[in-house]
Amino acid sequence: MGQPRWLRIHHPLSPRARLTCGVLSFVLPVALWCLISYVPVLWHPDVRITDPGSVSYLDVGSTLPRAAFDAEVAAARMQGQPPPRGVAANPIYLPTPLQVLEAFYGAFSTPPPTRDGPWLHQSLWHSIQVIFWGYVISSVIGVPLGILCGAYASIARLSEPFIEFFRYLPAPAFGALAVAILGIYDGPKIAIIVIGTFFQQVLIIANTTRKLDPALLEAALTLGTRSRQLLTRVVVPGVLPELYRDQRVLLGWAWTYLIVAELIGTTSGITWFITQQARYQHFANVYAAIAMIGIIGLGTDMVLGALGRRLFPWDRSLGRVTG
Amino acid sequence: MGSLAGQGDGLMNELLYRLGGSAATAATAATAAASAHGATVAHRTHGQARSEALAVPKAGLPSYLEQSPQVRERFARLHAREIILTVSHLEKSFASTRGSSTPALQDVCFQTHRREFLCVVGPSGCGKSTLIRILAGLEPHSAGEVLLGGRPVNGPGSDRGMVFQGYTLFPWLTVKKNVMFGLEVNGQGRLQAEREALQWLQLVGLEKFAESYPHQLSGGMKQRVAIVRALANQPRILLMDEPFGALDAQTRARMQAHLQEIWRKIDITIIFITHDLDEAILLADRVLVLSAHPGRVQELIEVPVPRRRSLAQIITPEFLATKARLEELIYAEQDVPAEGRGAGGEHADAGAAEAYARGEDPQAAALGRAARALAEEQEQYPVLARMTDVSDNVD
Ligand SMILES: Nc1ncnc2c1ncn2[C@@H]1O[C@H](COP(=O)(O)OP(=O)(O)OP(=O)(O)O)[C@@H](O)[C@H]1O
Ligand SMILES: [Mg+2]
Repeated sequence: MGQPRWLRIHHPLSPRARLTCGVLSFVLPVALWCLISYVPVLWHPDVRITDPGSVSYLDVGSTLPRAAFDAEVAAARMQGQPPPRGVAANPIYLPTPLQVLEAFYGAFSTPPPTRDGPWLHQSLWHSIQVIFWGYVISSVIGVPLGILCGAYASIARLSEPFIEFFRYLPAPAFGALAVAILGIYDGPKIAIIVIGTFFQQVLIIANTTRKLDPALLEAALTLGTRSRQLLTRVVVPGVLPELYRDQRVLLGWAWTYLIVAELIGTTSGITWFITQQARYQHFANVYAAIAMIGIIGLGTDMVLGALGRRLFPWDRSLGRVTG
Repeated sequence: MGSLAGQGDGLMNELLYRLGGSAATAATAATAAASAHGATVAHRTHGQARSEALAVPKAGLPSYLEQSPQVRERFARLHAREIILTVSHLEKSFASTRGSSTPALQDVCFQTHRREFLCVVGPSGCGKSTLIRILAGLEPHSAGEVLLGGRPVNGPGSDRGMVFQGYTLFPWLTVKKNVMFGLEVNGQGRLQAEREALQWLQLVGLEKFAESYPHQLSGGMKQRVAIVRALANQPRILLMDEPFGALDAQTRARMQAHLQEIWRKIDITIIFITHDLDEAILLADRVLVLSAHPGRVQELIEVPVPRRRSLAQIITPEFLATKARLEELIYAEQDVPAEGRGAGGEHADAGAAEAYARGEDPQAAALGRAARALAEEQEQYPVLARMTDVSDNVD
């Protein structure tokens, strides 16, 4: 009993502690980021120029490594010229939290650079649609096939060796092929997401199905269930909560294929936005866009988690796992 | 000796055990007589030698084969009923890893009559679960025959209900829907199934929990639902594999009373596996004793304890005699002396039994009171409606 509660193995947290820990898991990394960004003695390996002095190639606001800056200062001093002046800064690829926050707002309120170009929210919506269709197409085939593989050893043996082989092939490897077959617009992008998700999906769901307590099947059999009913009345409802959890994990999986998928054919969606901003070194915007993907992903998962608790009130373990 | 450990109150267990242990040795002398109805009697020199050392009249226990006129009449009625299940020369062997096969059951033969309550006991690993799974059709047998109502058993079916040791209610269905499950898969309409399910739940006093999910019930409640879920199909025979094994002593006693009540009121034959000898004697008409490696029938004992039974009977001479016989069969088989039955213990045990026989031991009297109190406590099961027509009486 001497141990604090949160140090006990498998000990559930109180709702308060759960919330606190959940909030902290975001606050701590952000706090670290703030420290690095705003405390000049921490890291800050570069110098941002405030006065170029006599050095012709330096501009106000540009950054260069401290060693190079020190060399310039020494050289100017030697020649009796006014030395450049600057402040310690982080590299350009690490904007401050405030900059990213501003970029977050600015990204939505800035009109597209070309007149017929998409606004950011349109790009995002386009990405979401690509994900959605990729995921739906994969699930429509993958979920039933996975359940059948889990339920019938013959189907498992017929399909799983090939699927095992296929899932090692990186989905982007099929990019060129997908463009050749499906054109340059959304078709190949959706195809990449399907390829990236489907094979894992079949294997994961087959495994989940196999883990169903065989005693439930036996109980159903002794109640006079015939084998066709067994699938619909016991196997499917029995694995449903686990299957739902798998689907949440797989949705996250689908998102991770988004960027490579959108680079195929004509670059589109959020990827187009990110590559544009990176090209102009607007890294705050890049971070904002990445954060948006994370927020959409986490948000969807939380909604799905809450929905799951409603759908499966009998399930004891739901809600503990976030996909 | 785990058989009594499940029965609750420590002092009582201890006393009961001592009485039972001594009775075991005392009653053995009477085993020479052949068991009725063709069951095999295993003669154990080991046990006999010990029984000779202890003079029988001292212990004052009757033979387990002795039946009072009422009990004899009850068995006559039982045997007059039709035979529901015939198991003949049943064999089962499991293929082991290296291609050879290990026999689990060998030449098992027995029959059960309609509305009989048959308990199966035997040392751990003797094939009790295997036997009941074969009867349920969940496991194929290697040789022999299982006939249910004259027809060979071939795969699971709704004519045989089964209650497992673990909890096997469908967690995604409410209690009511669990009970409706069997009715619906057998083609009954939803409304009719629902009405029947509620009646069955009433039978075990759980109608208030009809809309609860299994995880909201206690272990005893879950098993009660599992029992009526199996019974709702109106099977001819109910197979139970240590159904109360996971329950605490009090709940178990209550469940035993419940089960007896249910069995009395509906037309059902029960085959009940247990490792608890008291439970077996308390519930059974006859007890099938299996031996281990491979599992064979040692004896089929007719329990001479009169019905209706209660825990108070646990100290009656018939009960003790039967228990002594069961212990002898099972522990002699295991070839390890049961603890507390060493040389020193025997005299103490003999003394207790003797005192008991004279009816003057204050400990035994206290014990009787304790047992009666426990029995009264378990009389709380609900008033049961009769679910199926049963004209003849099993008591
Ligand atoms: N699937 C199996 N494969 C191989 N051997 C098995 C299998 N199931 C049971 N056995 C063997 O058959 C024998 C009987 O097992 P069973 O489970 O029927 O025993 P039991 O009497 O129910 O034991 P317990 O009282 O411990 O439940 C054991 O020796 C066991 O090792
Ligand atoms: Mg068993």
